[in-house]
Amino acid sequence: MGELAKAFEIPIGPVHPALKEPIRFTFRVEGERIVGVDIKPGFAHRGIEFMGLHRNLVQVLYLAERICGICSISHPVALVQAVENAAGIEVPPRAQYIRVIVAELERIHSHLLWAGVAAHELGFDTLLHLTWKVRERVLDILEELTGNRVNYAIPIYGGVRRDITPEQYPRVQEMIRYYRGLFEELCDRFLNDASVEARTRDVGVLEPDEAEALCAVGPTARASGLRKDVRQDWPYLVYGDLGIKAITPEDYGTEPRGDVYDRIVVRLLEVAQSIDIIERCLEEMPEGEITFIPKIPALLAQLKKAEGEGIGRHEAPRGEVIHYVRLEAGKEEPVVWKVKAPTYSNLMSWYPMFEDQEIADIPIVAASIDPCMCCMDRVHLVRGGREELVWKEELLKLSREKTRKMALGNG
Amino acid sequence: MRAQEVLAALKEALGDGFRDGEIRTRTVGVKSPQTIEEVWGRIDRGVLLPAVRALKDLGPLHISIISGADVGEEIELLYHFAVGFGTEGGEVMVTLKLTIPKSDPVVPSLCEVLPGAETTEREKIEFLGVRFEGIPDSRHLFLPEDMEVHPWRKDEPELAGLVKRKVKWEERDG
Amino acid sequence: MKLSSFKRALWVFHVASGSCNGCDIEIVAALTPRYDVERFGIRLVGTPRHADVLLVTGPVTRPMAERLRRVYEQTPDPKAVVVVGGCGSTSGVFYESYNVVGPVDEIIPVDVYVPGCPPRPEAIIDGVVKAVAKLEKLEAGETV
Repeated sequence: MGELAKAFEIPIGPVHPALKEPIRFTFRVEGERIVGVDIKPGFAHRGIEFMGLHRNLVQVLYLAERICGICSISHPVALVQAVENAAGIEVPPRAQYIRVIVAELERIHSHLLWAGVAAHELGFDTLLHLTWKVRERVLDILEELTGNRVNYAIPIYGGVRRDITPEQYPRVQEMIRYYRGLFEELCDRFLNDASVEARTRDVGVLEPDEAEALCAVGPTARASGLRKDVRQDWPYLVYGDLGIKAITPEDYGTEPRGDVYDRIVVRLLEVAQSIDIIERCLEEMPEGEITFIPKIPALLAQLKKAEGEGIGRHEAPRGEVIHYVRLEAGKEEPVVWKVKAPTYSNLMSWYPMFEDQEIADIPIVAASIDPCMCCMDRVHLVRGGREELVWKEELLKLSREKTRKMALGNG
Repeated sequence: MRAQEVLAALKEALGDGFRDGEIRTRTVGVKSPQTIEEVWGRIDRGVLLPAVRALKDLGPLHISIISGADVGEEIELLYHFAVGFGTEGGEVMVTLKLTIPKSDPVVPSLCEVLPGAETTEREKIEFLGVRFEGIPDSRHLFLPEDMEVHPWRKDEPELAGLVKRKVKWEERDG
Repeated sequence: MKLSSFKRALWVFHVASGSCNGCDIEIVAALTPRYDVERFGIRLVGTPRHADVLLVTGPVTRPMAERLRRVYEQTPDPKAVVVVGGCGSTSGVFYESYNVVGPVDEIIPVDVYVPGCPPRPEAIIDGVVKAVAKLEKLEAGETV
């Protein structure tokens, strides 16, 4: 057999039924083994930064919120901090607490969402439906507090738009009790399940030194044992007061191996951590103002006078978000606006993860960093590709068959 | 780690190549306020790699992003690093600015010291037309390979043709 | 609308044409136990060749325009196209960018618009139901 017959190239994407977002992978395979991968993002690139440079700052806030529908508070929180640092705006304490509460609610919903998607990729749809059913509870609370299930429009420069009223407290506390009661069951379903373990242990491994060199962030880095968490390392809002510690699989009592299983562990433990944070914030939150300047025209006038530059960072559910903004006096729009989403940093970590894996493991490994193309592709276009449509379903079938085979083997 | 140490290390390693170094501080937190320090400075492109090596010697180094802007005849790049990434309350954000002329938009690539910088450098190639010397993969990442327009440059007349206007104000007014 | 409209299972294919994920997640939410569209026989399929209805989200980025057209062509007739979300319907906040060529109705013919940023799962289900009615009319040879 010649060289040609040995290695095949499999293009996957950009239209994927399971990931919900367009990206293209080209895998080089030898038999069932992956020997190389090329990644082409950019299909969801809308040029958000470019648009932002032609709009006033309040409009930019709406754009920032729509960088990603799952991180729809992470990007605004980073952006408002960058602008506040640039313009020297003080944020009232109560507003800081409210931002933290909504950000942590988002983390709960995002991690549960991911856990469901991961279960789906393994062919365990019952678990997908279970996690998404319990996820509805946090969406109810988000809707109650902000008025929408997704895209909350809570942060504004110098504060937040909506207060949490006294009658809402008990409902949030009830949600906290609900998730606490459920947590053990959820962990048991995911972490003590033989088929989940068989499909995720030692799959898609990212070694700690690779994670560090490739600048991985968020749960992807933490699952490899690196205690990196913006909330812990670079205090902002009230996170410094809350004494947050980054979570790694060590907190679950196991040695970090940096595989897909560990990424599930980290995300589930972070759900519990977020619940604790929300509870503490509700207790500690002082009364008072929620905005620096309540009227939008006055705020815009103030921002127009501002001159300076600033950085805003936030630990989104997927990792570090950073926004850089430069303002010039007399201009309503930012002069420079740069956005970095977590998947942008984690993109490089796919390369070692895919190395030497089986084709059937592609869906779960791809999903394991919780990729968010729309976040990453803010700025971006691609061409070519003819054969890219039906593959993903085939792949999902393969993934499911592997689970079935393993289950039969075990049982 | 303190911002002072970072600043001193940069000054020592780079000498005259490092200018306008400053520490910007602000207070965060409500119950137990903390001071956050950021290091900002300007460097020449010749000392970029020594600067990154000096930062890497201080602790785990993370590149958050490279921001960029078109400032007339020059392109300004801002390298945002997190020094001591993953140390509790001890992370220092360092922003190094450097300007390069549009006629010769070349900077050394960081990939050899920090492989994770590849994504953000490839993005700068397509968006600002910067060239990185020594980057392992310089294909376009987000834009198509044949797209010659750099969307963040202000001197791109073709860009206006790509932008789809919803309302053509010019025609209306005319 | 009478339940007789659901005389057969309706298969839906979802295309993200550069959306922010908000609508996409709400589409998945519509499948899960609280909203459970499968009780109506509506299910998400993995290829346009099996689909009766296309759910399109997003403002249509330049690279996705061509692919969206091809997905539309691959979907067998009779088919209905439902646009989910404000940005797919009108471009929404994503106007005046070099890489947005939408809204969706400038690329492919659209039957039903579901506005909202993002629309609630109930609204998405309603959109699909309206598409069913349209499909049935088309099948019966009526004009709509």
